[in-house]
Amino acid sequence: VKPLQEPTFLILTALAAGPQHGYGVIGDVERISDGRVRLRAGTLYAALDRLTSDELVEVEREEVVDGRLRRYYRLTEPGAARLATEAERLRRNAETATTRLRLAGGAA
Amino acid sequence: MSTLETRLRRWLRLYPADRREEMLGVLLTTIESGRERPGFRDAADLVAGAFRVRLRREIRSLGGPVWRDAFAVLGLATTVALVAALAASFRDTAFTVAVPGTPALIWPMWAPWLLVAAFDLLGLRRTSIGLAWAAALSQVPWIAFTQFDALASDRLSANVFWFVLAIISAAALSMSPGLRRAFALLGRGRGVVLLTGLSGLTLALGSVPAPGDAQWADGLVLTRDWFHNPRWALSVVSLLLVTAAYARLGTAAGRRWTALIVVSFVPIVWSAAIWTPPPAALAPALEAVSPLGPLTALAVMGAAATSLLRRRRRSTS
Repeated sequence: VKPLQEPTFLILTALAAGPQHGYGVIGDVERISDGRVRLRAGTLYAALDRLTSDELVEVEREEVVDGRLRRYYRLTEPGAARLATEAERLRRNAETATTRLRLAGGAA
Repeated sequence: MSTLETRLRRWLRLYPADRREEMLGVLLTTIESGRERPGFRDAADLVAGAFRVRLRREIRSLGGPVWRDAFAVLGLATTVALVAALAASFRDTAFTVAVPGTPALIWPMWAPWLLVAAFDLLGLRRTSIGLAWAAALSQVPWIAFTQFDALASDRLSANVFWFVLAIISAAALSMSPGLRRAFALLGRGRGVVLLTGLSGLTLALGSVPAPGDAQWADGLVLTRDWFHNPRWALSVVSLLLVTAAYARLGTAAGRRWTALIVVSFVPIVWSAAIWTPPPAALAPALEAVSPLGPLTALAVMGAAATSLLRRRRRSTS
């Protein structure tokens, strides 16, 4: 399985907390990444389009607020599994890096 | 509606219709208030995003009905061109006109295309497709073993053009519902325009050029004194009719078959440079680019075949 790109990983992470609309995802991703990743609309919807067709994400509901369409997305079961796999992969990588750095620091 | 909204709606036309409304809401919220247009980064992101969405959707739809319809009309256009080439070939053998640079006659390939069309229209699709592939592939040994002396010459490039067109035709017929479907898609009006154009083109191509006044340019015999020659006018009017019959930009399949036909016939369009040569600086670049057209059509059909096989494998597993 190919590793997820960071924006995709962050979008799935944002949706793991519950269904959100596009603007909600942008704000959440910015919070999760400590302001480092600010998704623009083109990037967000290209990713959502791909994730929905890969069935990792699905449309939960639509509503009209102030005459504007809002579409809420949620994580599917395969999406949650994919995110869990990726989180585990990143955790193991981070752990290995930390352990090795500690060892290198101890030897010096 | 604000100026910003009007402009954003224009940008969002790059996206499929089902995405536009929700994106508009997000853009209006995220773009700083007081702005009348999206900034450079937002605009670049919109273009890149639209490209990714469209390309991915296009690739996913390659094995689907819209592209299969597009291949049906491409199959019709290429089969018809091969039959017209046969008519031109008859003209050259029947009248033995000395035409400098005339490509070698390719009987094994050209002769069966009338039969290919007839079998297809009679509903004998497997026979038609088999014959089309046999006719197209019969060119491989011909080009490999007998054309070395013609390497890098106009004769070889003309033969390779017809060979590639035959492969495109065979592939399009294999991956589509066939010529009957193509005629149904074009409709009666366009069918009449198409047949009128084709008759004119065949007449123009099939008439005898004055000895020594013609030259080849990738398959079409064009006369040098075109402005005095009614054949030129007939060819142009006929080509316009054929183009009008095929071009259809109002439907999803129509846009695709129009694009496929244009890229498949790019070398013939390029050959029209014999009438109005492009600027010297551009000519080599255009000549180098023109073979990419038919190769693009082949690449699209290759990707469609892969997608179709994947779907079938998924549905059987």
